[in-house]
Amino acid sequence: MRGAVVLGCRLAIGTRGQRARSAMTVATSSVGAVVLLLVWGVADSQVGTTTAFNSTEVSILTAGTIGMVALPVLVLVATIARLSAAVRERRLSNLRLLGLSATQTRMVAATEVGAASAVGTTIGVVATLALIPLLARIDVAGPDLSTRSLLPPTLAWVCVVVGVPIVSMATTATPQRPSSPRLKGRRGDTGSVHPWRVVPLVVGFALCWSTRSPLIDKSATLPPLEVAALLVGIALLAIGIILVVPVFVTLVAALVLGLGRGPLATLTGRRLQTQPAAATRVIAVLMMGLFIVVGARGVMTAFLSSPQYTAAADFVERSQTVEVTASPDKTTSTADTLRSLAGVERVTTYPVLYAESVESTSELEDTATVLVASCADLTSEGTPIEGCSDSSVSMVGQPGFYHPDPEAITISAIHRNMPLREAMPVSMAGATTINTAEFEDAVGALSGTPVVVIPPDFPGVAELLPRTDGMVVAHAGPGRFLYDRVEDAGFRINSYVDLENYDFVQGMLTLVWTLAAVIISLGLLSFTVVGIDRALSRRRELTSLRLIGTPGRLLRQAQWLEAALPTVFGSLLAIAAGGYAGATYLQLDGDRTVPLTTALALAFIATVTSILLAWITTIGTTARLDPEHIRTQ
Amino acid sequence: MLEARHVGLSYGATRALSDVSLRIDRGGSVALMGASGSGKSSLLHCLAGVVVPDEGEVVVGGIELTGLSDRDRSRLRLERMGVVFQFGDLVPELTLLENVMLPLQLLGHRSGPARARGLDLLGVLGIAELANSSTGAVSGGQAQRAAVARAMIHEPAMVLADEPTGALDSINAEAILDALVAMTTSTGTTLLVVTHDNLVASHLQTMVTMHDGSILSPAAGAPA
Repeated sequence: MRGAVVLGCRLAIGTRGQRARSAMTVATSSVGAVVLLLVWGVADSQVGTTTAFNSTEVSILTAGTIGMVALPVLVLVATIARLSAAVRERRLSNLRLLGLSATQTRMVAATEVGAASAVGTTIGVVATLALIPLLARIDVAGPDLSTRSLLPPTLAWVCVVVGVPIVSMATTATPQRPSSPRLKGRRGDTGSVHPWRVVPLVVGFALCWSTRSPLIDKSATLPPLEVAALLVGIALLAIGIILVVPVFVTLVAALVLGLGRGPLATLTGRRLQTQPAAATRVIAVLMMGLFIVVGARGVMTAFLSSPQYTAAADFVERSQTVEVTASPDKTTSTADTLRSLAGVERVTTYPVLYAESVESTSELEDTATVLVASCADLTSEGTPIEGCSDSSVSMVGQPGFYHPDPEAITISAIHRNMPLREAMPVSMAGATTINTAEFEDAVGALSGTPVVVIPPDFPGVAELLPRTDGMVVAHAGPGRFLYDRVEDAGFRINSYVDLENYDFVQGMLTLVWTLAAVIISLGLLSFTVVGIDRALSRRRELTSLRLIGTPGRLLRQAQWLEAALPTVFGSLLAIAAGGYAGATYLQLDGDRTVPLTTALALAFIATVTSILLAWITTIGTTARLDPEHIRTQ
Repeated sequence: MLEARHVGLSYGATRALSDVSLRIDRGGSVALMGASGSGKSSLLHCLAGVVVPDEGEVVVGGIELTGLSDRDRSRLRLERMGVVFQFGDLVPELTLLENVMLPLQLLGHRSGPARARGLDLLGVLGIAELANSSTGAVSGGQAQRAAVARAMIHEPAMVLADEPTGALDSINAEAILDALVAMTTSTGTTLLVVTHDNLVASHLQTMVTMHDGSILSPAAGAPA
């Protein structure tokens, strides 16, 4: 066995081609180790930094983040480890002829790749230690995170240092089905595609679909069985899109051969038909990346559309609104002080009253805030409110939700948050309903969104106004300074915006898009390297074709089509499946729709990039005829 | 007519061909012999337009090759030459028939007539029943017959063969050579075979021997 290991190490630096493959394994392992360790460190640093979500949710999110990077990284490492597999298998066959056992030949191959991978991983570990202080300095994971907090946990170091080389070695040592027709020899056509390849995708789709049943109560916690079905379904979708590629390639090949005419169609169609599974190796990482990115974008939509986030985003990105309560005698002075603060653009004041339900059948809660404002006031806050009337009481809520009942409520003045005793009954006859969303758009930052709006000249209200507290609202442009300035002025703020939640979701968004860039880059790198390797491994075939006079242009076109067709399909399939997985998750979280624009933009970018990169893979076909090469081949 | 005039070729410091001149008239058949490293394959590559010699000229059917671009030389090879290699070198993904049809398709012929012509040739060579077999499913001799058919399908003016029987047993080698000579003779095609086998050479009209990049025995067909 020792001899096999020594031979493996020797072969790793043998010929020029082998040195190039070893260099690629070193580079891939080091990049993979750096990416995994950094992502693990950054994700781990987020645990415990937010109270917006419970620790289980954050842990799942962290594990998901690490997993969605680990998967494409390991697939890339495995893919590069299989570069020029046919060449290596031919060489190992020769070793078998010399008398090496099957185990020994596998050990030679595994050592050859494993040694390079171990070197690469070590380089990656050192590079990670060098990069972490830089990441801390540029606040990649948010402010206040030190170099120490960005250090990955011990488990991460162990997993990466051991896992990356092991994946390389295992991939190399695993016997592969011969992919080259020459290696197939007389075993006949093994390019046929088994129908089982469709099964995981179909089952995954069905499981996700089952969780979308209208019979499942979405308002309650999802039963464990449905959660399991969703998770298994998404996992099967991810695996299924990879497994189904050869099926599609076979169909496309049949189409190309059936409809196409001439040598280009024949060459392309037959190449695809003969090695339908080979395309999978080329595009697996890219597909996995696109699936994860689109799916994760869908999951992020759940965070982005939460009321806490939208209110905070509105505050930070559109306009800041801060509300304080003032007693009747201090309303004017409070408004003046707020108006004088730097950055405050305008200040509005609304008297507030106290409402109480007098009938148990009323939809109103026992008590509620009443805003005294005219339709003009509400309009001046930003958005004209449909249905607002200055002659009647308005209820805030979804249209049709309330069933106003005459004499349903009483209102009274509030002083220092306490309602005064004299309560005045208010007729609800003719009350209109104001759409909640519109109302929140207009005066959304007001604390404890009022459920009743009463015009100032409504009968009886004028008597209460001199004795009731006022709600003083300061408006400023986008930013996050208004809270501090109002507090520094000595006021107690009633309104609340969850900026911590906003920062957390923003951080997650940055992380998702950074990961998207990393994963897609890994996918494109894998696609290019493997595509060129495949083209180069066909030098013998290309040489013979060039010798009989086949134009180089035709060979390049055939290579391009062979690379582009599966890639474009694979990208679109991965995006569709990722979108479906994300939509299923969102649907469980309340019928939100998956961001179609993102998916379409990604589909466009992926298609164009695939077509361009497919052209790059043709460089393997552009070499001029070389007599030495002809002799070698 | 295929002619090399004072051709010289070097690979770095290694002199592969020195002042080589050779002429093969239309319909002639020449065996280019010599030990390994004598320069016979290099000369074949120069004559096929694969390599441009450092010195001298190569003329194929009146066209001087050395002045042509790689693309034009490829086109000339496609139109006027058929090439056979030691291992057949068929395109592994294509069936035997598709391999044979390839030159006609590259020249823009329609699939139907190309298929019919390919089947005819495979029939002449005794492997019509293997037309739709993949290259991996046939023997070396059968693959080599398909390679001969591919070299002849577009009725080239000349066929250049580099050790076409080198990887075959004597029975298959004899059959391949007979077929190659018979087909080129019947169509008046010029044939140049690189070989180190006297038995192969005996099937051809002229034998030219090379040594250290030079022609030792300019025989009939070679210029004085």
